[in-house]
Amino acid sequence: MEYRLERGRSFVLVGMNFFGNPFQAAGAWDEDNEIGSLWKRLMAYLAEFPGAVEASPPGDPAWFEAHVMHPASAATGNYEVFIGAETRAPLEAPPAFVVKSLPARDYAVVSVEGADMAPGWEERLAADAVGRYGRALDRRWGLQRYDSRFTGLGDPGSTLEIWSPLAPGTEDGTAR
Amino acid sequence: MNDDDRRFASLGRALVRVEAGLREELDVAAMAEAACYSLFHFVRVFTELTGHGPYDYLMRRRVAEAAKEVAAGGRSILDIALEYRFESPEGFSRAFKRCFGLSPSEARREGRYPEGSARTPIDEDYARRLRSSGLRARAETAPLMVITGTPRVDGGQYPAGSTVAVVSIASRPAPCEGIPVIAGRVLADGEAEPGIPSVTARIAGGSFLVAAGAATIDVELARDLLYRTAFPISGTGPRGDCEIAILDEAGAVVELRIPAR
Repeated sequence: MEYRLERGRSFVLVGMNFFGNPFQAAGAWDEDNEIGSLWKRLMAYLAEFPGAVEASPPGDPAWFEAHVMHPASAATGNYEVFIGAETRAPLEAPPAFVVKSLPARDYAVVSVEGADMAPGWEERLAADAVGRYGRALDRRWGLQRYDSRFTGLGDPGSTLEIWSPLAPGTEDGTAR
Repeated sequence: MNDDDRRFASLGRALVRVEAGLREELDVAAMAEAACYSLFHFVRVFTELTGHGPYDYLMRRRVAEAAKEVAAGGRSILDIALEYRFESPEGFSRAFKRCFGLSPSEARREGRYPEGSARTPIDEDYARRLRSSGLRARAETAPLMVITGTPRVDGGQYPAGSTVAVVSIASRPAPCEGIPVIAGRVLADGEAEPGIPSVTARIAGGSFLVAAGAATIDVELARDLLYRTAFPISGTGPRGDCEIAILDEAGAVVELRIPAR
């Protein structure tokens, strides 16, 4: 696993979203959960309308899966799952898409490969990041970044990146 | 302690927190805190290991405990609703109806409610058993099933060669026409019914909820999963009062099927 710090990174992403408990359906009925369904919905749209969103960077576009807490999340556990990409002209996206703006934050970024993509890896890696950078996470959202290096969850050689926003820090690097 | 043990231990702490907090202010964030997980991860783990979303579970546990007091009589329904942290009688009534299909007032009048669909407490051991059993619930549709066999002796083994058993769990006949408690086999399409002493049951086609695992199943655990988790979450209920047990060669149950509305 490789770690790095991305400073002052903001995002304007174009994509599709879901709000609720994305695992509720999978718990009892379907093999796929709402996150898988959201990916399929997005990719089906893009297959039908190629070029609807010109994801950046050109050539090897990156897709971000964001998990975002809302005011109701603490009470009910429901939250938003958003999947989207950076584009040159986000406001020109088709009506089926929504724009997600994430404010500038420092991010602890971890590349995860193959078998490290096991259940609970988000928690372990987030804890690693806190220890490494001495700052608490901003738990209101988190990102996963997928590009051509990702070939499937747990596949040998498959890679994705976890982007964990850090809470604003003090001059000496400690959390405040 | 491995990762799996830690997950169950975390879940167990959250479940204990729920039972302690049925009458208190408690939200999913506090449950996640008890588990020492982020909210995102907690929702995933809780749902995966119990079949319930954490908020769904909390609300169903509150309604289940409140329902006992509603049916018992005595205190006012409003007092009971407020004690279990419902903000209004209307909210309590909606939740109650969603869980049991009748209002608290009706349950009070009749002095009872469908206890079989009330969510009883889940603990760490239950979650471990559910996980190790590999039991999963699924919905499916199936055509009319005609089953021929012999009456089953209560408490006895299924007769040799039986591949399916129909178990009536109440006296109401629909949708199982004919003899409601038999063990035998499914008639092939167009196959004539054997004469006496065989008996026949017809299970109307339609929706079913099915609990199955990788091998022989724990029937009581499967019943709990279907009646107290899968049916309530699906928003449907049993259609009639019979269960169909699919048997392996040794007569052990490998699948439980319940007609659904």
